[in-house]
Amino acid sequence: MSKYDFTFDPPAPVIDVEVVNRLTGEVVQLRGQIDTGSSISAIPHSTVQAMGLTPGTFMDVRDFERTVRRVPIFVVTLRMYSVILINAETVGIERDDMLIGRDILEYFILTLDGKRREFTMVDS
Amino acid sequence: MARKVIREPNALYEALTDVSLLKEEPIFVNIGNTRAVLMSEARYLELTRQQSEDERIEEILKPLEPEIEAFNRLLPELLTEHEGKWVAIHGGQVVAMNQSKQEILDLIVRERYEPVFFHRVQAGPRIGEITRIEGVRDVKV
Repeated sequence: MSKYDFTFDPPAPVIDVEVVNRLTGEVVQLRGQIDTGSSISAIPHSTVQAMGLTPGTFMDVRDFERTVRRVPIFVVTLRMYSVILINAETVGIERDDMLIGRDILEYFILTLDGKRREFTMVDS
Repeated sequence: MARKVIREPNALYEALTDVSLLKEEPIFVNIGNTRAVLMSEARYLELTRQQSEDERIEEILKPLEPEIEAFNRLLPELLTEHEGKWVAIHGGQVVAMNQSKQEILDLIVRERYEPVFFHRVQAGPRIGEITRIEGVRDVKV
């Protein structure tokens, strides 16, 4: 079991993630907040710029207010819990950490224990 | 440049809520020893010469423009026989097509296509959901 991150209010499940540039192999380590409300994951713009990532496509994303925006998509490799996700699509976001959306969570078994502020995330 | 001074407002928020004041921007606000300026975003960007978010994203997507235009041009023809497949566009041409997005993305890296645009062959846009759209850099739809 991993403890929730208490720097969030209320506390949130957060994991360590390595973002890898598929072309250069450059690696950036980030914290990733589990976000079951997002269908796609997001990485900080600072990471996009630092790694020199270029977009490969775009997607129209909408939020809970149904605001729709067209955003560029950056394809990266992600490493977490000994699992390597090649060709993960991500959007850039104005945050210091990652959002781990359902596109990544579908590869794991995620169990949230809100009462104990603990969670598990395993690949089998 | 017109200059308005609001003397010791009860709260900065009062000035902020009176939008009509912004028609005569910039407005200088004195709050104790602190002096603030209210102005439109357009004026701020003009003064600081910062790019707007739209301009920044347009710049990010600019290398892909020819490939996106090629995809849009080829889309009606692709839809007739290849709807649902994934394509990679490079040099204005389809360089790969596959049912599997992973196959397309692997090939893009293997062949070092740059710039390259990939997309699913479908009539409408790809739609995603995100909880916090406010931090996402966007382009006009």
